[in-house]
Amino acid sequence: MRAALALFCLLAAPALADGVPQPNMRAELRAEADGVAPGQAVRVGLHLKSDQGWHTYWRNPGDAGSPTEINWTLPPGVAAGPIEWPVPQVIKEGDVVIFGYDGEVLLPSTIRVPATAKPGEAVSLKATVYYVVCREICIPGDAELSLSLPVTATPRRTETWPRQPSVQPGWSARLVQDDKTITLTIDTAGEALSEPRFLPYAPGQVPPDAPQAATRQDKRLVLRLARAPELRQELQRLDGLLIATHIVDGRQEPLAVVVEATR
Amino acid sequence: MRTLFASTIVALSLGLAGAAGAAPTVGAEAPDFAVKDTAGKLRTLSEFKGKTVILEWTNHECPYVVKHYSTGNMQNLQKSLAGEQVAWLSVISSAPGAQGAVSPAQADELTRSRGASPTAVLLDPEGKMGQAYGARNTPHMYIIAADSKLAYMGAIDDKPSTRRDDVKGAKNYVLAAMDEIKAGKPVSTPRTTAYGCTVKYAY
Repeated sequence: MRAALALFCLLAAPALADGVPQPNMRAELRAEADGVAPGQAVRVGLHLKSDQGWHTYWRNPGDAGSPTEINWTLPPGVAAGPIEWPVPQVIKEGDVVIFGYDGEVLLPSTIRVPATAKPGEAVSLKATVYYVVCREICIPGDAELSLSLPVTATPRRTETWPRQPSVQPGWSARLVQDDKTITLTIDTAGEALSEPRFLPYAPGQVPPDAPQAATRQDKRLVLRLARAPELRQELQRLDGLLIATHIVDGRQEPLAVVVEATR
Repeated sequence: MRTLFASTIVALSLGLAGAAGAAPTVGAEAPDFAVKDTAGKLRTLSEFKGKTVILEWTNHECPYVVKHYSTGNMQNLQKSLAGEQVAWLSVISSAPGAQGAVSPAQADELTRSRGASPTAVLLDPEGKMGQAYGARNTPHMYIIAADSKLAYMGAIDDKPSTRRDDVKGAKNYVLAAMDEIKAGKPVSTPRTTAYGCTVKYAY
C-alpha cells in the first residue's frame, strides 16, 4: 500500500487583540503529486487559506501590503525554484488598488530532487514562510512548515492540487516612454481582448490605481500607462502580466499572459 | 491614408479619482494645512517657515508602523533629526473608529510609552491633510525643506516588510535625504514608493 503523503499544517495564530477581526489563516505545504521520482521535479505549493475578504499579496502588492515569501531549507542536492505566481486579482480597497488573492491561494514552486534519491525514502522539505494578510487592517504572519515527500518511481497526481487560472508565456512588446507615460505595443497576434490591464511585476513603475488606455493598432495592442512619479531612470525593460478577457467558444473567458517589453 | 488606430478596444477607467489621488509634486510648494495637535492647538505649515518639516503618517496598530517603533527605529530618527531647525510632525488620518484613531490623550500616551519625540502629533480624522498630501500608507514620509518646497515623499526605507529584522541594513531614505539637505545638496532620491498599511480614511 502506498504511504499516505504527510501534510503538516499549522494554524498561524497572530497575537489576538480584543475586538480586532482575525483572518483565521491556515498555512500548509501541498505537493502536486504523491511523490517524486529520482532525478525529477514536482511542484510543491504553499497553500494559504483565510476567511473570505482577507487577502494576501502578489509579487507586486500594489498600493499596500507585502508579497508572500517562502524560504526553503532542503536536503543536499534538492533545489527549489522561485514562486510561480498565480494570476492575481485586482482588489480595490478604499481608494487604493492592490494585487493579491482573496481568501485562498496556492503558491507553487518547482522542487527538483537528485537522481541519487532512492525510492522508498522520503525527501524532507522545510519552508519558512512570511505573509501579510489584510482586510482593511493588516496582520503579518510567519510559519515554519514541512512536508515529507516520498521518493517513488511512479508518482501520481494528488487531488488536493487545485486548478488555478494559469499564466500563459510570452507576448513580446515594445516600450516607449516619456516623463509621464509608458506606452507598450504588445504583439497579441490579432487576439481580440476586452478590458486589458497590465500588472507590472515590480512596484514603483506604474501606479496601480492609474487608468490604462487601450487601443488597437493592426494586430497589436497599444496600452498607454501612467509612469510612476518615483520612477526616474529610463526603463530598459518592463515585465509583467497582461490580464484581459477574450472570447472562447462564444464565452468571455479570463486570460493572463506574460508580457516582456523591451525598448 | 490608412488610419493607424483602427479601433478603440476600451479606455479602462477604474473611477478611482478620490481621496488619496492628488499627490503633491516634489520640488513644488508643499500644501498648507491647518490641523489640531493633541493640545488642541491649530498647527499650520506656515508657522514653520524657514524650518525643515518632516511629516510622518502613522497608525500605531499598523504592523508596518509597529516594526519601526518596536525596534526604536522611528524614535531614533526623531531624536537624531528633530530639533531647532527641524520640526517632526506625526500625523494620524485614521477616521473615527478606524484602526489607529486615537483621542488626544491616547496620542500623548503613545508618544510617552514609546519614547517618541515628535514636535507635535496632528489629529486629522477627516483626512483633509492626508488627502492634500496624497498620503496612502502608514508609514508615509514627507520632507518639506526650509523654502516650503516638498523635498521628499515616499517610504521610510527600502525594505517593504513588517519584519523587525529588516530595519537593520535597510537604506533609510529620510535620513539620506536629510543628510543631503543639511549639506545643501539636492535630494538625490526625492520620491520612492511608499509601503505599509493603507491610511484608514473615512470613505
